[in-house]
Amino acid sequence: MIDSLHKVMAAVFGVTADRITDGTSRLNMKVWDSMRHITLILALEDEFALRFEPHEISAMTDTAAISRIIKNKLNAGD
Amino acid sequence: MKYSDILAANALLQPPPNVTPYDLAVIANVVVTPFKEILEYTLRVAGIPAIVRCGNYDTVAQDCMAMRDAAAVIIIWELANITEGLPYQAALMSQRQQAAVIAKGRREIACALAALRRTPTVIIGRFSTLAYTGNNLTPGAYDHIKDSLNGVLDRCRRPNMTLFNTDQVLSFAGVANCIDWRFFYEAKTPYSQAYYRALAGHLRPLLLSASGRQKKALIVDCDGTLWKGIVGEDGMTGIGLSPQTAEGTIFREAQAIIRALGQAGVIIGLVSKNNSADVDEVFRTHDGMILRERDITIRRIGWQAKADSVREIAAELNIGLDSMVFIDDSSFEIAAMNKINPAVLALQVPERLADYPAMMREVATLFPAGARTAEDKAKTALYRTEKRRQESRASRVDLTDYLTSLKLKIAVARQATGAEERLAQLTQKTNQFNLTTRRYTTGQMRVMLRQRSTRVYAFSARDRFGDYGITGLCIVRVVRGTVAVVDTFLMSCRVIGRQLEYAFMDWIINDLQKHRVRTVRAAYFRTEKNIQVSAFYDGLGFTPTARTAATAEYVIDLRHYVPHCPAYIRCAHD
Repeated sequence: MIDSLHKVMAAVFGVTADRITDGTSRLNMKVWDSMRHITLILALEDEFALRFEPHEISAMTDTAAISRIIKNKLNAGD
Repeated sequence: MKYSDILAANALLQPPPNVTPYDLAVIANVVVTPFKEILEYTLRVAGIPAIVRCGNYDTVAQDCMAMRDAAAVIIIWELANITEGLPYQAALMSQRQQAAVIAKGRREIACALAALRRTPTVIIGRFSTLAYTGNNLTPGAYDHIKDSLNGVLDRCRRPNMTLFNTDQVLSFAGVANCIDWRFFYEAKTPYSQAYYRALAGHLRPLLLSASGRQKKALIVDCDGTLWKGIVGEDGMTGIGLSPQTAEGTIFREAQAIIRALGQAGVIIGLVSKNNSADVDEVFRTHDGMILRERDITIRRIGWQAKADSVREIAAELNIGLDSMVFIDDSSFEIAAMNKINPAVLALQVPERLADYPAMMREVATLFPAGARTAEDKAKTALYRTEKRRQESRASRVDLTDYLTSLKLKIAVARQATGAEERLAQLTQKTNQFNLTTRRYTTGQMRVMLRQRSTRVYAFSARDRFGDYGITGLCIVRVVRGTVAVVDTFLMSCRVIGRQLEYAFMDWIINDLQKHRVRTVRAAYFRTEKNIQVSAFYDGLGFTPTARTAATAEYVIDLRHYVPHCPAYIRCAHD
């Protein structure tokens, strides 16, 4: 799951996957603006066949948070 | 394909610096930024080096002004955002208030279209209410506003403008899949990536035509592509083409799509590793066949490598490899084609055979969209006579003898009103014998035909084998009484190699001299495909005035022009 997450983030932000770490966040990834955030959410939903709620979307501000939210949803069988 | 894979692949397909990109602007009254990459990817895999710019949120008229220099502009007007909360406010509005909303929309449309009147291609989505009222039995105020604004679009229609049917795109992808309410309320981004994918696919044929990158030839294998099985092994009765079986129906459907493309002017070719007689027998006598021999323009049946056959066909028909689509059921042949002729779009018959007709419907969208000209309809016949000419050439050693035997004639027309569509099409499709590669729409051509300062010359050519139709175009702008500038000089690839360009140029120069023009300026702009004409003006005795790797500019004093028309071409005024 982590590999896929890194792959998606790299594709959305236009960087190589090794640039994505647990600490990648909206604060240190320059291109991660509000528009890229929507693209990221759409790409993650497509990748993992999930649908995020608005409160989750606004909480997904760094790799660790995204990873936690996806894991929770996958475990809940969503 | 996953959305993230599209993003990653699109980044790799970035047009290289030596290629002029196709500059596209997407302008909307909502946020559509995710469309950028999906549209770029859809066009780039089809051979258009697209760079897409998106406008700002809800500044359509201003964006149209700012981006009017783009090669094409796509406008998406979301009715729900014409005024704040329109879908639910509409029912509460008085008729006067509704009229005010319509007036606001009308003003915005008028401003946008005025800004884009010189943009070569403008594509606009019709207003839709499907996401809100698709389930209503009777139309309400919201539908009334939609109908009124669509009426405005219809009445404002200009020659450079195409309307697409938003409802059709929404229905194709499914309304529920297309609208994402979360992002509409959060960020005025109402559409899902499913909608963007459907829309990009819907617009691709239009943009292929507008950018001059549409495919011209569909080359298909036989065994496993036109019928189930291998005719050389299974025999005539063993191959699957029966309408009584699912597999037979699938292959017949694929054949019907191919046949329809052929009838619409696409060149259909057969490339198969087979005994020619076996394939002939299937075509002539199998009652399950929908494709007929007369649908096939060119064929290579034998045992040579398919990549070589495809190259031969490209050379014989004078078309680029990148205008060819190749279909085969063998992954080996597809991989070989990708390796040896990467410019050819090679597609494999899907393993799940039920997906094959859908793939062919998709393939059909790669070929020219829109109205067919008389030349298109007659194209298969034209290419067939071209083959006869080439066979005749093979039997004659001396080229001049051969060309003399053709009894070539051209008829030149000045300001050929009525042929706008064909002339515009020539500018859009001609890549090889094209000195400046300027693309014009039918509307722009109509305007030029009316301008006194612009001379539009066109020729039709014929020889003893048949008529080529209108195949040459030259646009000359008279700038200052005695000085003329050649804006466009092109010839269809159907008539290259006969030196008709010299007859044409002689006629034009003679006509310009009659109208007191003394000096002609001309230019060559290099593209990936027009290297063969890089020395055209040098050969005619024009003097170079500036030259870079990509361009050359010329001038000639017409007193020094020497006619070049070979004796074997007869030239007349149409």
